[in-house]
Amino acid sequence: MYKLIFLLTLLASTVPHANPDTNAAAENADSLVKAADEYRQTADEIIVSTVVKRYKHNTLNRERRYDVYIKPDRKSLVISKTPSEKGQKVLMLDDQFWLLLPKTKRPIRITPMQKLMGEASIGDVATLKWHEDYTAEYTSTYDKSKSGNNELLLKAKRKGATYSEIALSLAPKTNVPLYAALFLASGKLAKTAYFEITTKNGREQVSKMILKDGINKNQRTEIEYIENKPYSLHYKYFNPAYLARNPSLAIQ
Amino acid sequence: MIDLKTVVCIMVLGILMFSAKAYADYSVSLLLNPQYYSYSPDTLFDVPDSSIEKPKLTSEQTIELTGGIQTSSTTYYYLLSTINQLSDDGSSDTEFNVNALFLSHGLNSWELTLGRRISTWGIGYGFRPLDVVQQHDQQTTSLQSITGKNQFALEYFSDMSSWSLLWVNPLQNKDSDDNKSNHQLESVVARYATSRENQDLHALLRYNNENKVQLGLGGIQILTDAISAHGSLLLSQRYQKQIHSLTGQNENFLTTRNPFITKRYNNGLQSLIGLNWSLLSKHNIIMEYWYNDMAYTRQQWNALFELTKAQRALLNQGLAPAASVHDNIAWSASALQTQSLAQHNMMFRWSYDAADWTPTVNTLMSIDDGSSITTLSAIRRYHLFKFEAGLRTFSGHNDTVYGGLLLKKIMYLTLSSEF
Repeated sequence: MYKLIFLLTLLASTVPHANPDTNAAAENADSLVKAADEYRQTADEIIVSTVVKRYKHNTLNRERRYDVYIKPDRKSLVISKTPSEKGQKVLMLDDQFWLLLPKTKRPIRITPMQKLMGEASIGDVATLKWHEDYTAEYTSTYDKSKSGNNELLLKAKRKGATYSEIALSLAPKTNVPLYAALFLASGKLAKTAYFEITTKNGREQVSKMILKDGINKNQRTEIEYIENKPYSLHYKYFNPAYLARNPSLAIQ
Repeated sequence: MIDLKTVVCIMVLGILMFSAKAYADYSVSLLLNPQYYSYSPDTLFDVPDSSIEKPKLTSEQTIELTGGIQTSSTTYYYLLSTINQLSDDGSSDTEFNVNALFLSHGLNSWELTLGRRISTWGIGYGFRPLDVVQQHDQQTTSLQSITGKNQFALEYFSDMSSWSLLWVNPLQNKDSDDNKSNHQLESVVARYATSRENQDLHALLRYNNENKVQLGLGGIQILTDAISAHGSLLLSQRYQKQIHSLTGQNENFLTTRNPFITKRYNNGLQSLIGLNWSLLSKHNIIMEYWYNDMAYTRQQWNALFELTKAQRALLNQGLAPAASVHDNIAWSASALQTQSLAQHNMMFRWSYDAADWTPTVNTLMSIDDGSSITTLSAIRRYHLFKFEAGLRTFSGHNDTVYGGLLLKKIMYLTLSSEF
């Protein structure tokens, strides 16, 4: 009898949207995205070391290294560690963006569109929390979807979000991100993302995000998360005027 | 042939590299920049090579060493370079530069800096009125780092704002201010910068013996996801121009010594407005207009062109020794060596950010006389290397600022790499 009650309770908790109230469903969808984000960003203030590899026709075409410093309230600082781009920095504060090219020795305020230019979409490297930029809703719960996964549709709630919509697929119960279709404002499929998970320091984390280009089908970009550890960088590094200080130095 | 100076420079760089490696971060960049020049025989300023050197082929080889030591509160930073210049006449020159060398100490939100530092703050792509400490030639095809200014700076950084107080070129001998360019003068500069939701704002105040008070304002406004507008303005209580002393008269057209004199004016204005438009297709367009009181007016250019025509007439009529006339024309041509030639300027720049290469078209036009400079270039990146190839052409009648230049075309290649 107790076993039956337990199973019914478990079923109710894992299938919350059999007859969902709209607000509750949206809230739950958002909480699922938040849970999925924790596989990429393991603490509120962290440094993430990434290697971005771009492949063309399955041949490695380019490799870039970045250190990404993240603070709460959508603050991130991306510092290029690749020798040919050493000292290049991108500062993202909410929906505001600044770029520092080492030769210019001055930060330049850039538009969200300029952020998409350059070597790789910096937004892909610097944004590890989709729940802050997007509102989510179910397109299908795992018990009803053909894939057996929770299927969510994320819509940008901020103008600085890199993509207009994201169709995200999460594993049931664990909310591990599996894949996502990333759409531009024009409705075009920009990229399809696939996630690889490994266990580090006793917890499951996203170790790699593979982005297949939706426009240039023969291209793919792999973002490998080499290291992900809590780190609190002094707030002055997130002041645009401070970007030009010590342009080529690593932050100690 | 490598001379002793070159060997010493290489040794100093080597020692610094290895000592830096032991303690901190550093990087080395290499630049190779061969250029081919084509000259016009039709310009008013055409004189034999003995009066003005006209190399057809030059090449600059640059090694830059950047690095420093950083602790939680103190930073020691350096940027050193050696530049070797070769010319088709067989000449070779090597120089060693300390582009930056400073010590900076931070205490919470305050920073104190002592030493030589590159300080460029301006807003704009073709021209930056707010670069009052030093200006980088925005039209140069060279990728070399500029040399900073000696300074003592106190700065305060709050959440989204910063205050700076700089003493630039401190303790200089003021007796020789006449021979110094604007950016070599001892000056005190106060600057404020702040960032808001959709805009960056800058304000500055500068004082020195020559310009007296200068007030600058500037900002960038993000208009849409794709378009931003920018502008800047610098008001100077006083400014100077080098004016040819023989212009504006019809009696004497030749002189035996440098004819340029410093003339002072009141209430100078430098201003710029521009738009930056980036498309999702990775095209980028920049349009700018700027006005610069420090450049010659159309009347001042006309006076110089008329003087040069009169000097050339003396030569054609055999009324003066050719060498003397050529030297005088060469002096007049030196007016074209300054960075800002025209008062009213329009710039258009298009670039396309493809995956591996970036083609760019840049046109700068003098509105006063319709002459222009057009630069076509393409940048290709391959692993650690960046290649740039470009062609610059100068157009206009021979009595216009860009059409009057001796140069007609420059072809250049740049190979750069950083390790």
